Amino acid sequence: MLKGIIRMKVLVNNTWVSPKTFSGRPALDFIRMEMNLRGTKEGCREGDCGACAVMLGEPLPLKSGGGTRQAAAPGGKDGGTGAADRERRIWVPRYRAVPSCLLALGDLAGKHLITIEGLSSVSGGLSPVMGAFLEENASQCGFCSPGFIISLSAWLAESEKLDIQGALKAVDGNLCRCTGYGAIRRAAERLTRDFADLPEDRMARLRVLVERAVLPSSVLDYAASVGTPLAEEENLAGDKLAEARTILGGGTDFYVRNPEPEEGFSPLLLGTSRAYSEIARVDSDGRHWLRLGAALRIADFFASEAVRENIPGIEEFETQFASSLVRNLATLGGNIVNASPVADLSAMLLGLGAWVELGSLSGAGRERRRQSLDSFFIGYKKTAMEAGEFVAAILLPASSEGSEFAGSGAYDGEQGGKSLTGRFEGGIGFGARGGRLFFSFEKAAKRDNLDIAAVNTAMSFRMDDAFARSVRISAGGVAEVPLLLGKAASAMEGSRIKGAKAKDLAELCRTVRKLAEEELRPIDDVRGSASYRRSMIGRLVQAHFLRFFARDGIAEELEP
Amino acid sequence: MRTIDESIGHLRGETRYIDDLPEPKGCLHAAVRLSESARGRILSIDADAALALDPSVMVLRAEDLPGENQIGFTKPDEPVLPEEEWEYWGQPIALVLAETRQLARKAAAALVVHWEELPARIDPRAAAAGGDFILPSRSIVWGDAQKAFEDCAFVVSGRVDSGGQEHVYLETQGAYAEVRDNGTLFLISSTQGPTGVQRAVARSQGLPMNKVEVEARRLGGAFGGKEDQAALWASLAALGARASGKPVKLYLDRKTDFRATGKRHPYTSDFKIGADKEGHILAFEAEYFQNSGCSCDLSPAILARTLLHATASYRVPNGRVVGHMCRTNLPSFTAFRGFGAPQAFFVFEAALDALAQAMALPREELQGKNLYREGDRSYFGMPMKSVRAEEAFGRLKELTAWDRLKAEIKDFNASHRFEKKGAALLPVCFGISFTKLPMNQAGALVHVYQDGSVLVSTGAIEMGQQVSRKIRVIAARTLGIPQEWIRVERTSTLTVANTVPTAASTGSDLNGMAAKAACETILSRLKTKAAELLSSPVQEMDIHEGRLRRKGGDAAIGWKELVEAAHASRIDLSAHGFYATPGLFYDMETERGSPFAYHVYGAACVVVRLDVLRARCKVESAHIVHDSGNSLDEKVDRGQIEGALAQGLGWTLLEDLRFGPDGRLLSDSLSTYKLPDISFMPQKLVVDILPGRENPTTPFNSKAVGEPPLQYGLAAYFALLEALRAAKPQGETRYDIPFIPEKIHAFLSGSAL
Repeated sequence: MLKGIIRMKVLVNNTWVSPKTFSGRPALDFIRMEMNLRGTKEGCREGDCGACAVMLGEPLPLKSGGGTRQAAAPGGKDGGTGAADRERRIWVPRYRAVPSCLLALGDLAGKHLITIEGLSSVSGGLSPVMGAFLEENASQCGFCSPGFIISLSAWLAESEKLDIQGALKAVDGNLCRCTGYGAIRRAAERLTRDFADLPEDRMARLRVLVERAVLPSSVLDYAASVGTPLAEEENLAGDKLAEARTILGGGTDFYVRNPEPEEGFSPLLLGTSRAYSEIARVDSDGRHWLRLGAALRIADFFASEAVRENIPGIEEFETQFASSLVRNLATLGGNIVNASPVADLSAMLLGLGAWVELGSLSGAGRERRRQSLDSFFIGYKKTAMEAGEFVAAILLPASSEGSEFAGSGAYDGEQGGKSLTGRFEGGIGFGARGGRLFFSFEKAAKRDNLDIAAVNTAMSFRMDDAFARSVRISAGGVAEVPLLLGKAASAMEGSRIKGAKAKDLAELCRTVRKLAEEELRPIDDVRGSASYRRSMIGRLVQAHFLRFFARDGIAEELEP
Repeated sequence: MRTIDESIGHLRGETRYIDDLPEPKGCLHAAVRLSESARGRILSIDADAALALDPSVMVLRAEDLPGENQIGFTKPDEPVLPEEEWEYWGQPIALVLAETRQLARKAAAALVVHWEELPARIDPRAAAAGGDFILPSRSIVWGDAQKAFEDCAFVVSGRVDSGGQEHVYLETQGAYAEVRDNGTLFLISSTQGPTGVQRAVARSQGLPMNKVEVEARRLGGAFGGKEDQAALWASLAALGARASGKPVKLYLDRKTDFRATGKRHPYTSDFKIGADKEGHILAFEAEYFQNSGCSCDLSPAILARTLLHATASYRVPNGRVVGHMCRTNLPSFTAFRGFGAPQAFFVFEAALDALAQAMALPREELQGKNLYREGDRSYFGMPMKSVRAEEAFGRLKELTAWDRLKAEIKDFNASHRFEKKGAALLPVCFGISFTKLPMNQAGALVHVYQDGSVLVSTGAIEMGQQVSRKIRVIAARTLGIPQEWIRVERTSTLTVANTVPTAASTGSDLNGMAAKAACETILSRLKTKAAELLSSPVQEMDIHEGRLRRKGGDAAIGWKELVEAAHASRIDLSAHGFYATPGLFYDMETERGSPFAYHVYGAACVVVRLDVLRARCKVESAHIVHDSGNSLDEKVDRGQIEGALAQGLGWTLLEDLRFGPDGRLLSDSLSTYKLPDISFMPQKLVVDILPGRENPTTPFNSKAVGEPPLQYGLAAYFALLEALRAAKPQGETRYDIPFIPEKIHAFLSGSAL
């Protein structure tokens, strides 16, 4: 048997295929070279252009709805959990657009891959999305066009809101160098008009989209086949080979650094395993946590009701993280595990007081070690992870009050309400859980969307009675690791917030800003000079304050 | 017969670009090894490790070229592969062939290069100080600037910098080569200039041009980047094919394309401008230091366009402009939409801004006062005809309700401390024709087949500008038949020889006129036949919607029938057409003449919103009034205007091409080099096309559209400047684009960069 080939099947457009190539091969190469489907283009091989976008269908448990929250299965309206419940699940396919250059072939196991050829096979002519592009003359050289068609077709299948803002968000990872996007925007506007009446129910919508020739009928065949989950789940702890293998979340960082991996490369794909994609509420030592599987896709993180309820307003910051295409593939664990000093999720999670849960590949049983995120990053792209360990989950402090846990996310909570065992190591304490959580994220980059930050920062605190508790301020891009700015945060800890005078809040802001700037150790590079980075963190910390205390009239007391 | 709209294939994913074509059995893949310093001497290249990877691996170097190791035609300074010294970081120094692309790339990386560092120069002003120029400098002098400055009430001077710009054609450069019968070479090249590729390959392969056939199907974008610079990749593919005897495909990955190929020229310039009390500009001087990179390429022609657009859209009675082609150890900078004109526009508009600041007048007042008018002569002596500068500028002010807009912005700024808005106007007057006069010619070949269907081939390369669609319109209108009966075929050196590159916005003008000439030749033969069949005088024959009839008469003959009859009568149903733009002349000695067939006019208004705290800005709206002549296809022209605006905005505010002090390209991927995405573009974008007028040197009084709108992007820089000044009136102005957030921050915080 050839090296790295795994037994898997993938539905490519309308045919089930067993790939004869290694599982770590980028799906783009499988599509273009093995399947000879050349409508999917290579533009950059780092997920920055969208020319290689494909649609990926995968089974979704309808009841808990990872993206379309209103989706409710007949006969399964409650949010119950537990193994017995799993059997009652109704599975439907969900279709999302992803960059195939950053997608491991192995990640396609049991899934439905739709390329541009799949969409154009629907009718001999043009699908409605293609038709809108033709009508508005939205294709010039044509090289980017298949990617745009894929992104917008997936948007019709997946999006909650079929408005122009949603359409623009869907193509925020697709570059076009010819049109200036005017015609593409007009084509998208046309689609919002033509498809204003799509049903919200996921399955009903897929049927309509097949009827209207947006999607191929193989979508319905696939839907019929996902009555039971197809992908085999990997048990990492029991994998003897595991230690020698690279572990990938979504692959969106790995394949940028390794665009053409060695023949035979066969990583362990955490993203294929449902167990590592779950969101659950767990308790430990009387404290509540939101446990987010390391392989949870970034898009699912931001879409999760549990996350949104625990971190009010977090969805506002979603589009600052990469692009829709990348968010559909990248994972929570993958974004932090390389300890990049500018990873946006690292900044957010640090600012939220997150912990990481480390699993062990070699260790017997299910011993889990937990480490606070700030002590997890120990040097430039270095973590406290030991050989044989991997990031299994992220733990976010959950509110002790707040509304009832809704059990949302990609998959609902198998461990809901269970207590968590294992060790907690290092860190600056768990912090208070009561009171309303304030959260803000800011980023400086050249472009608003899909750009790596020069610097980023997140800030959070809880308002307990009238005081700021558990203040956390993170800063990325200003040191060899993402930083937690302890001094700046302590200056605010315990300060009166509620009913405070605008003048005092402004003074607090100035103090925190000044302390924050002093804690940084930035360097010069292509994304910004050291002095720019230092000063920008100060400005963005002030932006946090302006967001938190806008209604208190703080702006009047501060200089821009 | 039914139309095949080119876009349908794109949208269905069926269009085949070079890398999508099926590879014949035995086809080898090529990869290049790039140099790793700005300048170095190769001592030896050890290929053992590369060859050990696989028996199919072949390594080729300069000495393997059967012909001359040279593809520079203006100046012999562009070897296919360097023999001893490399001149920039990223220069291909060896070609590697292997059975798979991955293997070829791996083998290229496995080559061990022994080399020694040589001193390199990166800064164009340092090159100028050292007298290191590609070709002698050029200057245009008019009036008496020195005396005029003495008469000026206001004189200001300053420095202007504009950065380079990577084309980011989504399809990277590539070529396919194959040896055919009798040692002829067949190539498919992703090029704007198949003849240039043919000539370069013939030279480096030691073959006559008639043994090299080059086909350019369609390109996934080019924007000037595949004009001269496609020749290298085709020459390398040809080298591989001849050396191996097998077909060879060379297709660059993005990073290699970024590092190895040329981009828009960075410029650094000095200016001096003076005006009388009322704001009439009396004199202007500029010295342009063009960063040409390591070789000649198109730098002289680009500098010519800079010098011929030095005063942008304005009348200036006295002046002196000097341009230097500074040689540096960087990739050879090359054509990019605008071709030296945007750099010149920026210098003059910056000078105007400095003058407005000194005079405490609004910029637009100075702009309006000095625009070209009918009857003016340009500073190089060209009579300005059908001038529409004031018309476009005035129309734009109406369209945007300019006075009200300014008042609204003033109110907004007074009531917002953390946000400021700014607006600016930018008029455009852009000369159409290749500045190198012999290039203003084109050929076409038209066949009418026996069933009446028509095939048109020209030198116009389809690269997204939809020139094929325009040529189809021209052929249909000329022949008087529906567009659906016509197909426009790809360009090949077999069908149309000695073509000029599709560039300088002239693609549809020149090739359209050539196609028109060929269609007219065939139509006149058919009319003679129809006159005979209808027993009417030939001069009274008229064709409309595929039917020929005597004017006012009832009796008619259908196109298909007529074509059959003509064929039966042994009438030639094919014709070659040729066009050379009339009336062009330029005297390089006196620097006087009429180098352009006509000018394109227009004006843009851009509004930006500045986030003062976060030191970043957003383009809110753009209004454009544009002169497209009698547009052949308004949707196509609109697409060109919007696309050019995006590239102009990118060049002005976003696209940060950055080299390290050692000459290494730092922004060498799409993760470090950001270009406009859909969210970067303004939500409000209004394009207003002026009603057409007569324009005799083009097909059906149309006008070229590719490059002029790129200049509109500069309005965003000046709008941002307005917003910045509203936030910090005493801030120090830097005429330095791209004006990225870090520069916004420096302006606002008063810090150095």
